[in-house]
Amino acid sequence: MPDLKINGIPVTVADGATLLDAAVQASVEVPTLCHMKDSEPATSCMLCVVKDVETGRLLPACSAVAVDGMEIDTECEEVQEARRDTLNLLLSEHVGDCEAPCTRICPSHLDIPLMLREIEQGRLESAARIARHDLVIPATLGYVCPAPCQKGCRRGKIDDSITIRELHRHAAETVEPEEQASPPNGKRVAVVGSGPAGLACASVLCRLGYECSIIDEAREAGGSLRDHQELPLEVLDAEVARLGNSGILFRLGEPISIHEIADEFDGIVFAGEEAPGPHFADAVYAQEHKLTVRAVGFGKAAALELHQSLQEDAPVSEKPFDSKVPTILRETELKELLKNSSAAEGQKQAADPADEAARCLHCDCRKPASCKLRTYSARYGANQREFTADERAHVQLIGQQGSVMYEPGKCIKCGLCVKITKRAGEALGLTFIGRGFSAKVAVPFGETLEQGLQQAARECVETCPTGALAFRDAEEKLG
Amino acid sequence: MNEEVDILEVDRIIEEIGRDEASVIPILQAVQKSFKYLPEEALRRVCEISDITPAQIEGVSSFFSQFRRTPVGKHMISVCDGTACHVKGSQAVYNSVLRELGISEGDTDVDGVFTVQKVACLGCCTLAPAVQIDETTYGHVRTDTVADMIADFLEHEANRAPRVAHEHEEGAPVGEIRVGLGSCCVAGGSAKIRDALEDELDALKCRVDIKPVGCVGMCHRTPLVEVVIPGETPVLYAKVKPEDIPEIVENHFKSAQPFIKVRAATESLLKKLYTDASHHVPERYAIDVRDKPVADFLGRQQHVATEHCGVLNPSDMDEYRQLGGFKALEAVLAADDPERVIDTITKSGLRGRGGGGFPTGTKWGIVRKAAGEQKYLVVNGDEGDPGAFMDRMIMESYPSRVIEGVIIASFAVGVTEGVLYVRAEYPLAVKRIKAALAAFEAAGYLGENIMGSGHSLRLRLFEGAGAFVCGEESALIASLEGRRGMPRYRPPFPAEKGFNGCPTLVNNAETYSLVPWIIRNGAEAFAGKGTEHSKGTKVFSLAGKIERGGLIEVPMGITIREVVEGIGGGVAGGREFKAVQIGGPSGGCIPASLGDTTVDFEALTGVGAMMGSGGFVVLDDSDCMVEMARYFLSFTQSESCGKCTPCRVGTKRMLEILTRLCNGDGRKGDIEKLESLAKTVKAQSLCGLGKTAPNPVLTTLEYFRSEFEAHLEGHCPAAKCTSLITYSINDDCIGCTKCAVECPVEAITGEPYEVFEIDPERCVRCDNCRQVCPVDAVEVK
Repeated sequence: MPDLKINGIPVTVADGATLLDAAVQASVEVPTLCHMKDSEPATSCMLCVVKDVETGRLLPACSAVAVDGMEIDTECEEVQEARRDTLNLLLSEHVGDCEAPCTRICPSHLDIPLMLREIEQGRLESAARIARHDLVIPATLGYVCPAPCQKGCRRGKIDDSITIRELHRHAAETVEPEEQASPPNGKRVAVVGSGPAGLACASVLCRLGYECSIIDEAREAGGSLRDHQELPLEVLDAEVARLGNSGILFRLGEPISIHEIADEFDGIVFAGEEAPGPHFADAVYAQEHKLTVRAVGFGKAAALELHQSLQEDAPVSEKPFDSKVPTILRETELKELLKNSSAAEGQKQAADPADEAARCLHCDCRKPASCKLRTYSARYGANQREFTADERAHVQLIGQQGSVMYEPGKCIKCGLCVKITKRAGEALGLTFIGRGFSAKVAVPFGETLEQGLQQAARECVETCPTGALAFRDAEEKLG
Repeated sequence: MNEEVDILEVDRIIEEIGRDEASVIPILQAVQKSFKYLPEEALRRVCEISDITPAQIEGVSSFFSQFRRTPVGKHMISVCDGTACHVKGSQAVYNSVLRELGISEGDTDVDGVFTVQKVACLGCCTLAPAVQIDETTYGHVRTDTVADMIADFLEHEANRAPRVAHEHEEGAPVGEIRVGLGSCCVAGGSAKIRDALEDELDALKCRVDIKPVGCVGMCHRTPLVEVVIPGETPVLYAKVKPEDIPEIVENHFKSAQPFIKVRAATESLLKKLYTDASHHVPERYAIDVRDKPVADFLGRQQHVATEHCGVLNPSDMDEYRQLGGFKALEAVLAADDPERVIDTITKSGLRGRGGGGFPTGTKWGIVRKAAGEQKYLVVNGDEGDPGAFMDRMIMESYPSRVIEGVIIASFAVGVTEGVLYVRAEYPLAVKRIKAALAAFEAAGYLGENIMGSGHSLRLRLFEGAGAFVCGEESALIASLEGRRGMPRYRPPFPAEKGFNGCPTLVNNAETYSLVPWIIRNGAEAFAGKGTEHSKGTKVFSLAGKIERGGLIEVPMGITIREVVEGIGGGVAGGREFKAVQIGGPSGGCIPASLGDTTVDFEALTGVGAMMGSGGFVVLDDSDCMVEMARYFLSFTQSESCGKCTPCRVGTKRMLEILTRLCNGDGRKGDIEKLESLAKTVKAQSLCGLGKTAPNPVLTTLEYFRSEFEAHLEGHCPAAKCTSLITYSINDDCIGCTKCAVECPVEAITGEPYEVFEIDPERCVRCDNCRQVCPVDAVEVK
C-alpha cells in the first residue's frame, strides 16, 4: 500500500494502482483521452503526463504505477506545456470544424446545423427552441438579418446555400412558444435600453435566474428595430411579448434615473449605441449595433459578463476552442460531405422547410460539447497552427446515412473503439490498418462501417473522445 | 490479377502451424511464401478455420513491412537504403532502377516481371550501395551500371541449372580452401566462387576440402578465399573472381611450383581495391595478416563474440566443440549452481549489447527471482538498424555460440522455454540458426534433461516480420503474442511481466554470444577489457566513407579516431573526415573534432549519441548533415508504430521541417521549431524509439548548426541536396560524349570533341554524368 503525494495531498493507494488512480483518490483531475475504465491502459494520447518531482521525469499517469514516497505534480508549468504540445500535435492532424462555418460566422452564434436537423426530422418545436435560445428574436431577425451565415454555407459551393434565415423565421413563426421560467437566483438586475442588444441581454439574464427589468424611456420596446422598413411591427411585438411571458419585466416610458436604478438593482447593463458616460461607470455595456444579429450577440455576451461579476462561484466560461478547416474545401471533400446530406447534388433550394433543411451538409461536429479534445484544447490554450502540416489531410466521411459516421480526420488513434469491438465480440469490428502516422481505424477486409459495428456502435460513439465516431443525427447542443 | 487462390494450401498451412492467435505471424509468412503476397481470400480462410479474427489479421498484416497485400512481379528488386548505402547514393540507384524499368507509378513494371522496393538494410554495408534481386545481391551498384545489373540477373536467371553436389574424393585431403560465407561474402560473389572451386577441384580430382567459414570481418575485401595447406603459411585471397579460381587451385595444388605471391605495394593496392572502380578490375590479390593494412584492420581488434573468426565453419558443431565450444555449458551444468553463473556475469560487468546497456547479470537476477512457475527467454535478433549488421553476422557465423549462451542463461535464470527472434530479412541467419537448433537437439544440448543435468530447454525460432520498433522488448513480445508490434509502458519490465504475462529474459544476440567466453575465461578476464563502466568488447559494423569497412570487435574505451583511422584506414578517396554516425537512428552524429571521444556507453551518451546496436558509419565532407538528419528521421518516422502522440505526429512534423530545409523551402523559425519539437518528442514519447529518434537531429543541430542555417538560405554547403544544387560541365570537358550517352533524360547536349552542356531544367541530378566523366569536368554546385 504505497503512500504518495499528489499536488501535496497525501494518499494511500492499493498495490499496483496507477498514478491516475491515485489522482482520482486525491480528487485531482488529470486529463485523459485514450483512457477507459476497466481496460488496459493504452498510453497513446500522452495527455495524462504528470511530473515525478524527485526525478523530474514526466510520466503517463494512466500507466505509471504509484510507488511509495512519490511526489507527483499534476499541474506545474512543465506539465501544462507538455500537454499543450501534445494537443498541438493532435490538432495539427485534426481535420474538422468544431463548429460549422455558418455558425462561426453568425455573430449571435446560432447552432444552425442542429436546428436544420430538427427541421428535417419534423421537430419544428425543438428547432424553434434552438433558434430562440441562440437568437432571442429569431422571427424578427428572419426579416431584418442580412444572413451572413448563408455566405459561409458550404452547400453554396455545390449548388445553392441553405436559406437559413427563412428556416429560423419559419420555425419561430410557426411554433407557439412554451416558455419555462428558470428558478430564481434571488438577484435583481436592470437592462437600460430595449433595443436588440438589450432584449438579448435581458433574455439571457432571465434564463440564468435573475429577476430582470428592461428600462427604457421609449414607450415601446425594440429600439431602432421599430424603424426598420421590412419588419412588420407585429412580429417584433409578438417576440417582445413572448420575452415578457418568459419573465422579463418591461418598464417602458420611464425616465431613467441613474441613482435610483443603482440603488434598486444588484447589477446594471447599459444597452445603447454608445458607451455610457462616467456616471454609468459600474454598468456593463451591451453595444447596440446596426447589424441586429451582432447587437444580439453583444447583448448575450454582456449578460454573461454581468453574471460573472455578480456570482463569484459562477464557472469561468472558457473561451471554446475552435478547430477549423478552410471554409472553402476541395471539390472531393465537398463530395464527401454530401454523404451527410439527404439531398443529392444539384437539388436546388426547396420551398418546403423540411426539404430545404435536408440539403444541409452537416459539416459541424456532432460532439461540440462532449469532445474531450476540444475541452482540453481550450483548457490548456492549445494552438492548432503551432505545428502546421505541410499537407492537410482530406475531409473524409465513412458510413451510411442515418447510421454511425466515421471521420478519420478527427480520429486521434487512441484505439478505444478497436478495444470495444473486440470486447463486444463483433464478428468484424474495427482494427488499425497500417502503421505509424498513416495508421487508420477501419473495418477489416474493407467491409462497411455498419457491418463492423453490429452491436457496439453506440458504445463506440459514446466512448470516442472526439467527433470521429458519431451519429449523424446527434442532438448535442453547442456548449 | 485475381488469380484463383488455392484454399487447400491455406488449410495445410494452418494444419502445420497452428490455430491460435499467437501463430498469426508465422501463418502470414507461410501464406505469403505460397502466394507471393497475401490474397484477401486466403486471409478470410485463415479467420474461418482458426482463432484468428479479421481485426487481428488485418491489423497485424498491415503493421509489418514484410507483408504485401497486392500481387508482385516475378522478381523482387530490393534497393538497400541503409545508412552506408544511403551515403553512397542509394536514392539515385533506386531512381535509376525505376527509370530503367519504366516504372512511373506503383512499384511493378508493366509486364509484371520486376517489383522494386526500398529496404531498410540488407546488412551488406561494406558493399554499398547494394541491391538484391531475389536471392542475388549486387554490391557497389552505380546508376550507370543498373542496366548491366538487371541484364546480368536475367541472363543468369535464364541459365540457372541445379548444381550437382560436390563429392569428396577418397583419401586424406591435401589441404583446405576456406571460403567466407557471411552475407557480405555471398553478396560479393562467394557462392559463385565456391561453385567454381568445386568444378575446378572435381576436374583436377584434387583431394581438397572446401570449407565454408563465417564472416572474417574484412567485408571490404569480399569475396575472400583462404588456402590452408598443412605446414605452409595460409594464403588469403581477397576480391576473388570465379575466373581466378583455376589459377589459384593450380598454383597451390597441381603445379609443384611454389606460388608466387602478388604482394607488391599492398598499402596502395588496398586503397585501390576499395574504390568503386576497382570492383571491375579483373585482378586478384593475395594478402596475409602480416601486411600492414590487414594487420591494422585485424590487429587492434579483440575477438570475443567473434572468436575464431575466419576459421570456424558456422555449421560445423564438431569443430565448434574442438575450438572450445560447449566447455562453458558443460562446466555450468556440472557445477549446478545457477546463482554462481549470475554472479560471474554480474562481476564481468557485461551490459546489454542491444543498445540500452542494462547490466546483464542484474537482469538475469531479476528474472530468476521473479515470482511465477512459467518463465521465458527471448533472443533479440531483430536487428533493424539501417547501417548495422552485427547481430546478423553473429547469428550467421556463430550460431552455436549464441545458442550455447542461451542455454547457459536459461539454466541460470530457470527458464525452460525460449524463442530466438530473428529478422526474416536475414535468410542466411535464419537458415544457420535453424540448422544449429536441429544439431543441438540431435546432440542432446537442447530439449529435455540436457546432458543429464535435469535442466530442459525448448528453443524455437521466430522470424520477425520487419518492424524496427520490435527491437524494443515490449513490442517484440507483443509481436510474439500475435499482436501488432506496439510497445507498452515499462515498468513492469519483461523481466517481471513479459511474454504471456510471465517473467521473460530478453537479451540481444550479441549479449548471449559473449556468455560462453566469460564463463570459460572468467569474469575478471572480461572485466579486464574495456573501461570502468563499460566492460569487455563491442562489435561494430564499420561502414560508410571508409577505406576498410567491415565487421569489427574492439575493446570498449577505444577512441573514435582509433577506429576510423587505425582500423578503418581513414576516410576513403582522400576526402576529409567530417563525422561519424554511431548508434543508427537512435544515435547521433559526432563531429571529427570529438574524435577522441571513447567508445563506451557513458561517453557516447555524453556527446548526444548512443551505443545503439553498433552501427558505425563514417561521413566525409561531401555528406550533408541536414540531409543525414532527414534520412534518419525519415527512417524512424516510417518505423514509428503510431501508438503515442509525440512519436506518431511529432516525428512526422519534424520530418516535414527537415524535408523543407533540404528542398530549400525552409521558413523562418523552422530551425527553432525543429529543435523544440525534437526535445518534446525525446521527453514525452512512450518507448525507446521515440525517445531516441530526435538524437540524430539534436546532435547535427548541436554540431553542425551552420549547415541548417545555410539550407534556410537555400544553400547546401556539401552540395548534396538535389533541390539546392546544379550540375554543369566546365571547360575541362574533352567532348567524349560519355555523359550524354549515360544521361537518362537527354539533358546533355554537345558536339563530339567540344565542351558539352547540361540543361538544368531537364537534369534530374542522377549523378550519372559525374560518375562517368573521365576528366572530372562535371561540377556540382
